[in-house]
Amino acid sequence: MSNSKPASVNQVWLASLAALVVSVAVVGMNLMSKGHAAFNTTSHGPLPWGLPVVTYDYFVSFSIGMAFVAGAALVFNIEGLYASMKRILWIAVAALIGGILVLGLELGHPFRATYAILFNFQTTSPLFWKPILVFLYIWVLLASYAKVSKPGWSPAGMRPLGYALFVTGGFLAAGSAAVFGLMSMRPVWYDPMLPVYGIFESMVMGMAGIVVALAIGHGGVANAPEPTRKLLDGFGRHSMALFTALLLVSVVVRAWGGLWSNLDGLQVWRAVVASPVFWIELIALAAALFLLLQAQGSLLLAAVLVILATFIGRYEFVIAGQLVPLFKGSWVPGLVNYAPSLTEWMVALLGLALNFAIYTFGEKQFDLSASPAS
Amino acid sequence: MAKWGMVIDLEKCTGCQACSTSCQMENNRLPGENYQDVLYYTEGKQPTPTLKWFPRPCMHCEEPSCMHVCPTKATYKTEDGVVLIDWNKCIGCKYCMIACPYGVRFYTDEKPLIEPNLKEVFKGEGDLSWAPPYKGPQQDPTHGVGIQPPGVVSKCTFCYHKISKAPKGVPDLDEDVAELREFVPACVRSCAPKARYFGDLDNPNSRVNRLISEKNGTRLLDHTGNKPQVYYLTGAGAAGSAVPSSRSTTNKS
Repeated sequence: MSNSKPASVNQVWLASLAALVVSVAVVGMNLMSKGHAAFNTTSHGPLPWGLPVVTYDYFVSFSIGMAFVAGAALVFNIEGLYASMKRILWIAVAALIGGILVLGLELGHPFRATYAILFNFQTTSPLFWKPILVFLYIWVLLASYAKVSKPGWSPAGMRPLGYALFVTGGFLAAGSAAVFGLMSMRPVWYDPMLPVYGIFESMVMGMAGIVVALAIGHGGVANAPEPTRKLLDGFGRHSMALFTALLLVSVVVRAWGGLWSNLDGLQVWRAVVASPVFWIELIALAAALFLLLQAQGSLLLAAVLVILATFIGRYEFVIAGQLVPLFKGSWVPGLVNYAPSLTEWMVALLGLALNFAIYTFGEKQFDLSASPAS
Repeated sequence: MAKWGMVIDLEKCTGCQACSTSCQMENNRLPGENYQDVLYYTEGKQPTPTLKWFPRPCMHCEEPSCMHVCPTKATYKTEDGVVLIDWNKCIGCKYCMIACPYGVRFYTDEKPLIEPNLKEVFKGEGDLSWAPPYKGPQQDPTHGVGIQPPGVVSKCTFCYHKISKAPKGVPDLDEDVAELREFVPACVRSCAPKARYFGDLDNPNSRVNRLISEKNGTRLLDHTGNKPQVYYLTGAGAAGSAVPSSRSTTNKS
């Protein structure tokens, strides 16, 4: 293993290994002894999808976001990201693996899912199209990574794969959001425009992810290669600020609409807005925007705040959509009570630790800073 | 081929829960896994609250959203209009539970509603998630009948193990007709005030069709487009049972 890597890589590697050991022990013990009864999701609650689904969905969106930004850099010839292309694509791979592992721990029959979805061809289900798109996306991602791993890779030669990343990433982001957005019986989720929103939220996550990765990989954003630093100080900072502002506006407007509406099911927004977590999300986004608008504001802190806010937003969205009980025993005011169990938190930690472990393994074993031929 | 459907007369329903109990017995359900439930709720505030109730089986919809979202076609609709789950195909993703507007689906591996956990007390072997001390003779995983294996979703089958053996062409399955009694779903057969009727919705001579047309049968949450095959008769004199139009939300002003 290389010794020339910044200390931050080793620190994150060790921390992620420690987190992996703890989370694997807790999750393994609880799932083997209790099965999914170790989760706080219940039919009689009723809340079928809990924190593991939130985490899986978030990691997949995060991976798409990274690939999206990489694809955009190749398509629009944003040279400042070329030196980080290999790193960005490697993180996209890592996040996808973490997400798929979490999904495997959530499903009742994960191995059956690998063939039953493909061979039964239920084209009316968004969950048929999503795995198909994930399958395509994996191939494009791996092909792109393989190509940028070759010394002196050519940006012009990578352009077709850049388009492919952009298109498969876009469809997958939209398809992931459609899993929720097409559910007309869940008013908090139902929105034919949700897939568009999913694409744009993935972009913000991708931008924030790149900043964090550069900070870890180079021991600080300031140590990133010159072209990347220039990009981040100018266009990168401004576009991230724009997307963060749009995200902030969309969070406020969605809550506003939910509070205003009399539509049955949207009463859940009163509970969402009353929760401190919602305000943490808003404050995190506002603080990130403030930092991004300052020429000297910390990019890394802004990126971490955006990642925190988008995770809270995803949790809020997935859980709030299920908080109004259907016909399980009561439809009077009063919402389902849900808080993730320790096992669910550990599943989320396991996914996160695996992401970081795979990423830092790449930093240590491969030269993720490989640049194209100039 | 028949299109089986149910009519529940809310003017007759007393909320006695015999239907729920017999369903639990017939289908070996765990506490909380109420394929057939009677939901209780109150309307109005003190000093004049009213107790209401609402019997709710699976609606066996004509256009079941649970079936359309199932990524493996584990949820399917039979030719005779019954929505079933093939446990050999179910991957336990619970998307059907998300998509069902009526909340009538249940996942096997969950925290028990009451302690002790009956699945721990009567441990199952092989593909059976538990082994109840009394078990019905039927075990048909491709139709989602019997004790479910771990990691799958289960639901009301309209007692498919009974109705699928009924003589062809009968307009109704009526427990008062001795030769048909064994083919009647448990909840219909045990309904003491005879508030439930089960028959062929495609047969113009069936009693269920007559009741729906004469007594203006209504369907729950019809706006979802799922088109339930369970109809409710509300009449004018229902004492306590009622079809809720929506949840009663708190007024903002």
